[in-house]
Amino acid sequence: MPITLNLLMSLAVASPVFAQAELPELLLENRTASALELAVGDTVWVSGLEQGERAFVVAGLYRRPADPSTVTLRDYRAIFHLPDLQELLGGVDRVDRFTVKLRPGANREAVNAEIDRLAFGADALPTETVANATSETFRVVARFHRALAGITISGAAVFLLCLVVLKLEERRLEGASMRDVGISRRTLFLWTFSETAAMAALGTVAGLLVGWGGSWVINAYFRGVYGTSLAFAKVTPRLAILVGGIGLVTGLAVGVVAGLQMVRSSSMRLRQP
Amino acid sequence: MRGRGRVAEARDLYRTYLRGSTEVEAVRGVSLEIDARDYLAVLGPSGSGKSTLLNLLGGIDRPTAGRVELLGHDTTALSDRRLTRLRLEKVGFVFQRFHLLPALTAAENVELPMAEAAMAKAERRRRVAELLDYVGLSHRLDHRPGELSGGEMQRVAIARALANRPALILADEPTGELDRKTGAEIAELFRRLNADGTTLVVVTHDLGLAEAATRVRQMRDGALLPEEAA
Repeated sequence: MPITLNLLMSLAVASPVFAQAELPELLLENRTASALELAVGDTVWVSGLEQGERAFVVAGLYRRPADPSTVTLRDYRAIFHLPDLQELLGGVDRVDRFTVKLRPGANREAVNAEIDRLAFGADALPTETVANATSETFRVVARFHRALAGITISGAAVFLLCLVVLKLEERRLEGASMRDVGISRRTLFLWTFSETAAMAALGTVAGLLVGWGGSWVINAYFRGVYGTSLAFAKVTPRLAILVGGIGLVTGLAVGVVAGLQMVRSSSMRLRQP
Repeated sequence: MRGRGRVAEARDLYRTYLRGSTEVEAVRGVSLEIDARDYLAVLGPSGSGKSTLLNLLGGIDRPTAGRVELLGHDTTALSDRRLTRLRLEKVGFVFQRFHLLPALTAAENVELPMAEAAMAKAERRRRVAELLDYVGLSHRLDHRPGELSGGEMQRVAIARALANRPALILADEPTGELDRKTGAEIAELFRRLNADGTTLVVVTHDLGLAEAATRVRQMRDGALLPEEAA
């Protein structure tokens, strides 16, 4: 069984002069391989904690799982076959942790119970429990993000309102002219309202596009920096619907305010500076 | 009343504004009749109350005292809604600064009052073409106000004023923003409009525009001076 382990041992690179067929194999994480300038087929010397050095051949590279709790760690990682690892560590029959992947439909509770029965002292935990235990920090961060989003959206709504008020100030004369030539308050209201609502809708779409574009850039950059497939920023459909809904409701509300503002005054008053 | 039919009539009009705590009488005791096919020019210095009088005649503003009858309707008694409808259907306005909507093309600006009056689209298009041709702008249909000269914008505004075949056109300093030559062209257009049967009231400083009128009234300090022969 392959086991992932923080490589606490030193790795020494050797030229491939050994008869590689006789050497045990290991897998190297791509960042480790990149940092040590190793490639598949190279031979490496690994010094164990208790045993002497052993040579391994790099059988392949792997990418570290997309786990936010380990993405910033700069350690070297390798995967050994369990017997090789135990031999290196001098701890035969000793395993700290391993993962059992179940087939779809398998009874998880039954498997947990069976492992507990077979391995005395072992504690079989569902992946959700482990994930929950390690992701509390990210939950807190997510709450901060939500608070920031709320502040941003409120700020954007106030900004939109100011923009509309300024725009209305510019258009008082237009409104007065329309009233003078016989355009009804109803038409003027609908005109102002639909223009404002359309502006808000366009702003929402533009905001979402900026969000999508921004998250693409952020992900591309940090995936490159950390060599991971993690998504650092994500505009989910649920988020898009939420933002779209808020944008629309804000736009409609501002549209009503703007429309009323335009029709509430007489054309004479609208003309006054 | 003259034989041609009364279009508008003002009786003992007063309009007082509050400027700070001071009352300003912009119009004082004005009485005036306007008959069909009249071309009345109201001359007077700035601040003499000409524009206020025009606003009162067209139902844009309401008098402090007195009454205005427009085509038999007492505008002082009409609701805002009915007064707006009356303006839409029976009165055309031409302003000194044109007051065109910058986002709309010349054709759309002219079409706007017709659309508000629920005229059929095909009829609107036909009339827009006809009106812009009348004012000499058939080649500028799709231009926005920002792409037109001052004279052209005023022509579009005149075409817009004519959109719903109004009984009365009210023009407030229509040549005020134009150079002498363009002003003369607009004066000629007003003369032609009147010759074609349109009733016009123009308030102006422009003597050239007043020369084309069939009636001239002078206004001083909110009051009309006795009528002069045209």
